[in-house]
Amino acid sequence: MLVHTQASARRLYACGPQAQALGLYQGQALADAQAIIPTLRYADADLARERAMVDRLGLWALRYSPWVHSQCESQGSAELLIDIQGSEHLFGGASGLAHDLRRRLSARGIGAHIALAPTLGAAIALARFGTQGVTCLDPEDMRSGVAHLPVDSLRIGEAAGALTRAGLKTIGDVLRIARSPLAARFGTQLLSRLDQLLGLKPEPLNPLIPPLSHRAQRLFCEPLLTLEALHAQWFAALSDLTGALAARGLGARRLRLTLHRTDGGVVRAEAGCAAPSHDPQHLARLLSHRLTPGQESPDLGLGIEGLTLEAAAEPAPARQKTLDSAAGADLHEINALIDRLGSRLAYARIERLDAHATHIPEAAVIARPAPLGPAQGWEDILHPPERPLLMLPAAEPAEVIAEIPDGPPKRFRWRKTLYEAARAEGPERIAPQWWRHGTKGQATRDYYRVEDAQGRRFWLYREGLFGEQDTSPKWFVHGVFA
Amino acid sequence: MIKERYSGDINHHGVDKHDSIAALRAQIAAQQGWAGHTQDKHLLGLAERAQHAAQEAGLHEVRPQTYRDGPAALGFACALAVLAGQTRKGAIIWIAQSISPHDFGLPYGPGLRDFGLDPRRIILVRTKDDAQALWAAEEGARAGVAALILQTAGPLGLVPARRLQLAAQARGSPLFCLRPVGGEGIGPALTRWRVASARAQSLPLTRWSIPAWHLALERQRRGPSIGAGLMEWNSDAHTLCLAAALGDRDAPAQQTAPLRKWA
Repeated sequence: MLVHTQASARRLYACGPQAQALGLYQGQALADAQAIIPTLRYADADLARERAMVDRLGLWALRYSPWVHSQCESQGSAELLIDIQGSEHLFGGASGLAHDLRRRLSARGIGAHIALAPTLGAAIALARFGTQGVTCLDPEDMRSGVAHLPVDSLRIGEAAGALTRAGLKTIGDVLRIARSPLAARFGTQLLSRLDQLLGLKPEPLNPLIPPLSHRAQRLFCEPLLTLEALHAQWFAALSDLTGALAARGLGARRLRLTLHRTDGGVVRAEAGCAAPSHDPQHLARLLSHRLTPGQESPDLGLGIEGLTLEAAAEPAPARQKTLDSAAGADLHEINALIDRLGSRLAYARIERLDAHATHIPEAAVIARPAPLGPAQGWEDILHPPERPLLMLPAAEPAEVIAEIPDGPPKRFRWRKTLYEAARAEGPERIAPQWWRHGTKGQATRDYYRVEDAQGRRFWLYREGLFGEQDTSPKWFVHGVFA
Repeated sequence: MIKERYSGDINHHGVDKHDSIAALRAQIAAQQGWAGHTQDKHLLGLAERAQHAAQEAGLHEVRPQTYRDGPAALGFACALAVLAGQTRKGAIIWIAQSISPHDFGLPYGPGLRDFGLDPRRIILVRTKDDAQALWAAEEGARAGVAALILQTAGPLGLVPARRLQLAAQARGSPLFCLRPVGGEGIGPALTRWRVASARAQSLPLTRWSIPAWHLALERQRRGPSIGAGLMEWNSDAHTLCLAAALGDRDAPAQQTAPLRKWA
């Protein structure tokens, strides 16, 4: 028996069949229940844990189909929506799947009403208000099958009460009435729900995890307990998948491996590629470092009873290994390297430098994740005056002694060190991009290349011009020459 | 007692011992694929040695003399990478630690191009710590890239250094390891260079100033480790050359006229 606080009253959140037999019901005030049974034992409902449990159940149900949604619909009960189209034959037909689901759920101590129907609306209505156990609805007797269900099952909220007061108690009653008066009196939501129920209007399922385009699955008779045994299995699944992809001229761009634990938990590993690949060895290397024994080895619980391997595919031109040009082979090797580095260090840490046509120095280069392809834009841009080898992440202020108005620095202090300029070149004047929005307050920069007596070379700039503003302009160090 | 007998052996068979050590060295060199290398490297000048180091597959250590010579050391490593990239094709992997406020920043594309390094060949790997950096360097070396520049922060043990060395030699990639100031040298490194910033002796003709460094070759495997000098980098011809002291005085500090307005 679970209790929670609703509208400052302690009410029954969920109660088992024994309690129901004694006359208790959901939503009853705790005081009333205690009046009936003074020795009532109860516990507080933990809604967050329940939510997490339902989510885990949803992930578990991915073994049946990639299209799964789980929700806590009403108090003390949750719904699992599974689109089994195309996957029921793997479990011996739709009813075989339903009975497998029921058996596995009851083995975990979860009571379930299972309904199979051609539409989502019908399945939800049947599961909520239909008979116990497994209900199957064939497409032929769609209307007759749902006619006896109460209007509450239509998921229309307040309008259900209004329908009942008007004497329309079942869906069959509503279906007999003309549509336009219904819409006028009870709103258009009722009509769209009816259409969705009968399959006249689509109702998409919002999947917990968006499925990828290709999928291979393996279910084991006995749970696997070691990573080595698992490796053999998922590598075999990967070989199947890549073989199928290669036969269609496709390659995997993303991979997702889901291991289903016997206790219902899942272990997931994902990897991405810089270029579509159907080489199982390469793809296996990307996935395997998450699934190797060691510090970060995954928690296998009491064993793994199945695995699902999904791939997002893209067209990959077939390559001949021996006849490939050297440059092509090199590109392939670099992509493989980027994949390996990226899958371990995070893709954003592997960068290529793109040129960007602007005079603002810090915007002239964009570091872009390397898996997105080769560096771009360098052919098109002009050679600006000489630039430093290293650029500071942000320009750092410096104290500078220089001639007014635009003489080069004679002496400057940066990072608490004093430097005497021995040679300088400049200014190179870079004006703000006045044609852009939001550059109103920016000042013109005068850049100077400065070399000190020891040969250290810096790139400094003065922000603003003398006489243009009230305060004197500030100096910054922006980069360092080698 | 054992020690005594051992030293006695050396005294007694001193000449034979040297011969056999030389023979063993040659054998090891042949096994590890160094057989074809010239033994008379001490005859080469410092610039030629640097050129040679840039082509030699394996681990090369570059360290700045002081903290403020950090950019100079990086510049020299870049110069070596340019030289390596002339003969080997493929990408140049630059492994940098995630930026700390006392560093001198990250490589800047147009600056790399001015220096002679094509930014399109650069793949920049930003790692969190030395362990990641070493792993990335090993992976990169095993992929046979043109050259690697590796910036490390902490000490580098013998075992990881040896691993890097073998990985670099497996596919023939030179690996230039930039070390922090001070600390232990890398044992298995083929060469070790100490770099300090310097002013060029040549007059800059096409550029405002010429990159130049005081180089000291502190260690060289299978060769005498002497050598120091002022090296200049020609960013246009992509060559290292030993600066010749000019006959006349140093050029006075010059201030050129302002450039044309840029932007």
